[in-house]
Amino acid sequence: MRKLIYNEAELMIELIKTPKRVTLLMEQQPGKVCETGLAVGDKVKRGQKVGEAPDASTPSIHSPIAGEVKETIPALTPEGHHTTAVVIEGGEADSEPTRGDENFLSSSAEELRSRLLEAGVGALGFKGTACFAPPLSVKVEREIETLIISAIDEEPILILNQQIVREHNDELRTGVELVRRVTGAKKVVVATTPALKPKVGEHAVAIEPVYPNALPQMLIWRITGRPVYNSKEANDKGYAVLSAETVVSMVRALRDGIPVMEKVVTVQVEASGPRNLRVPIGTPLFGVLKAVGCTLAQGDRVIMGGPMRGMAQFDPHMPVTKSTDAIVHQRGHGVTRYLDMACIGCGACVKVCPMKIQVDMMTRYCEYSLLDNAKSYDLDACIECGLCAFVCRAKRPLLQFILFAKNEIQRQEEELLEA
Amino acid sequence: MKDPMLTVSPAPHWHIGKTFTKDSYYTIMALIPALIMGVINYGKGSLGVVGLSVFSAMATEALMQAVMRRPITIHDGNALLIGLLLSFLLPAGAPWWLVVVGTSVAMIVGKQLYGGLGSNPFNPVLVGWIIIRISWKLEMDVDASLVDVASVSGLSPLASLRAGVFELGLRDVMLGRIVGSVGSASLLILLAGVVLGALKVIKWEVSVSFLVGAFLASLLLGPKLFTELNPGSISPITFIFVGHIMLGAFFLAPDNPSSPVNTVGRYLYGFLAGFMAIVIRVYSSYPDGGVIFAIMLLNLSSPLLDRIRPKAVGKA
Ligand code: SF4
Ligand code: SF4
Repeated sequence: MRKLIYNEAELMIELIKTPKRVTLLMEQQPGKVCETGLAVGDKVKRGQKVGEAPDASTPSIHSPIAGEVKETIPALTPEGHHTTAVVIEGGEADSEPTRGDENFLSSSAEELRSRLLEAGVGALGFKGTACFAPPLSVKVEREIETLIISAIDEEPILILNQQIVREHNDELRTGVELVRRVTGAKKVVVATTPALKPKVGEHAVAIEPVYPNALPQMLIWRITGRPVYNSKEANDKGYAVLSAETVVSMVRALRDGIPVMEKVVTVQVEASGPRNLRVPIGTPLFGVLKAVGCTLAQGDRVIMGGPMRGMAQFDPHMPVTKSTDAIVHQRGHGVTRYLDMACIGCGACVKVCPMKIQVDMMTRYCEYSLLDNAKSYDLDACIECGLCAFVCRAKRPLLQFILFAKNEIQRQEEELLEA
Repeated sequence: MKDPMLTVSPAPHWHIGKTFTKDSYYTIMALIPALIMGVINYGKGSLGVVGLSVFSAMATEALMQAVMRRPITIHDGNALLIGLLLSFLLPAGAPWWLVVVGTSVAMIVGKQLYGGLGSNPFNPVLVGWIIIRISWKLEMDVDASLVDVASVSGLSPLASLRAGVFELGLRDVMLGRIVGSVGSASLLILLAGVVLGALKVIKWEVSVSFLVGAFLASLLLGPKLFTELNPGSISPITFIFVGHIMLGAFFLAPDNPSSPVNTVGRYLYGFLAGFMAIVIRVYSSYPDGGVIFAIMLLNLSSPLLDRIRPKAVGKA
């Protein structure tokens, strides 16, 4: 099989023009939904807190521009959850004063955690991966045995974390110590590509740059030798994964006092190479695409996240969140389509599955909601990498079947709990 | 400005580009050299058999799908391939009605009644062949129906082996210069199969183990039995180039829906099918059907073989 190789090119992170209008979703990361204390018409400074979780468990949300609150409206997140959005339109350039601290490492862990919470630092990047992060804002309940800082990007074409290693090397090195302090992890390693290993230094572990090796479950498996299936299990066993970008943002928040207002995003537009952009959170999709010279046409597909696991968006106004690692644009004629076809039993999916699941049977059961049978065919072991659907000769939407079944199981369990 | 409508679809948003349809057409292309050889050996009549077989397979499928109000999928190459493979198993002089009955049974009973592509437990080609072979013994007999083809003469290899008058060289057998069915050029079929196997278009594990099984069986019992009458007339190698062994190993046994998915199952399936093919050829009253009946039997046990599952990572 043609392997999906990770992108390892060097690609400068470019700044884009600050947008005039941002839409801040109150749900940006896994955790509690934030609430805003602002009302329409309030003036907002750059870096001012806009949203805050009710019980101080989830990082706050800050405005990347100065301006005025135009409206607070119900909105959808890129994953399709219902939430509230605060829309801010630009006015005078007015920033919150920053309160940096050069010697932050001498503060207590308690102190550091509350400052991180204030600065809105939480696991940046794909939501599914962010679930593997230790909570940075509260004390970790289960002691962490191994904490993996992922300086390798999860999906092919994505290249932001590797570039952050190149551009923010000092911060990353300081960050390793900081993360150890904040989470109390016994062992901290940095997973990276063989090429970047010398740059990372003593904590580095090289990972073969082939998809899906950089998915959190695979990283844990490759590094500790123990396979885990999901974030809950990882948590129970004392493993955690954080992206390099998160670690750097922690250092920047504590040392320079800059809250999280931007996200590095790899933008891949059809017929041109990827670009790395530092995008203010809340910038709409079409704004980011315009910055790289792409105008949307009828029938195009815009994906938030990587090509293997990202979500295709229907709304070009969907704002960038702290979970947006990539924006992939495909022209309408090049869009791959799934077919409504029976499995032909070719076995390609079984061969490609990194978890050695008999995918053909498992997904047949998923398709028809035979959940117990699906479970007996190792549905729980699936790490949702999407390789099976990538190779399926019948073009069956296998990953969709799997996610559907997992969702059904979760819903049923919740119903049982309620009853 | 009105926003453009965007396409929304589930992840992943890339596809490797290899599809079942492409695989079918590759397989068909790989069979063309053997087809040409068949036409050279048996004359234009064989082209008629092949053409009719392909046409009637596709027409039956379209008709069935129209009757069942299902999307018509004759463009996916599967019906074409079934028609082509079935014609390879027929004598060049087969009457037209035999071809039509064979292909329509293959398409209707073998494929569509089970629910169409992917749901068929047996390879449709085999179903079609078995029905007409059992019903019209004389017309399916290559020895009887090829008497007026000038370029070949004598008896078919298997018949002459039974009669103890086998005297063909490996070369003639490999190139199909024998009394046989349209797809008798076993060397060309072998080469086509190797290419497809290397490209992973077919389940190569099945093909390899099929050949191993067939060779082992023919070493153990094939020629020994026949050479009692005519000692030393055929070697085990020649024995597996005779008949449909190559076609079975590369094109009939690895048929996707009717063969196992898991690796261990594939090896077992192929080996047993190959072995059985020789056993049936030697001992049964259908020497020409050895390969076909053997694969049919193993099709039947393929779900069972698929119960030998890989263990998911991290499961005890
Ligand atoms: S998404 Fe498919 S290939 Fe990936 S782990 Fe799950 S079943 Fe296996
Ligand atoms: S790759 Fe698709 S067609 Fe092939 S066995 Fe898997 S699900 Fe079936």
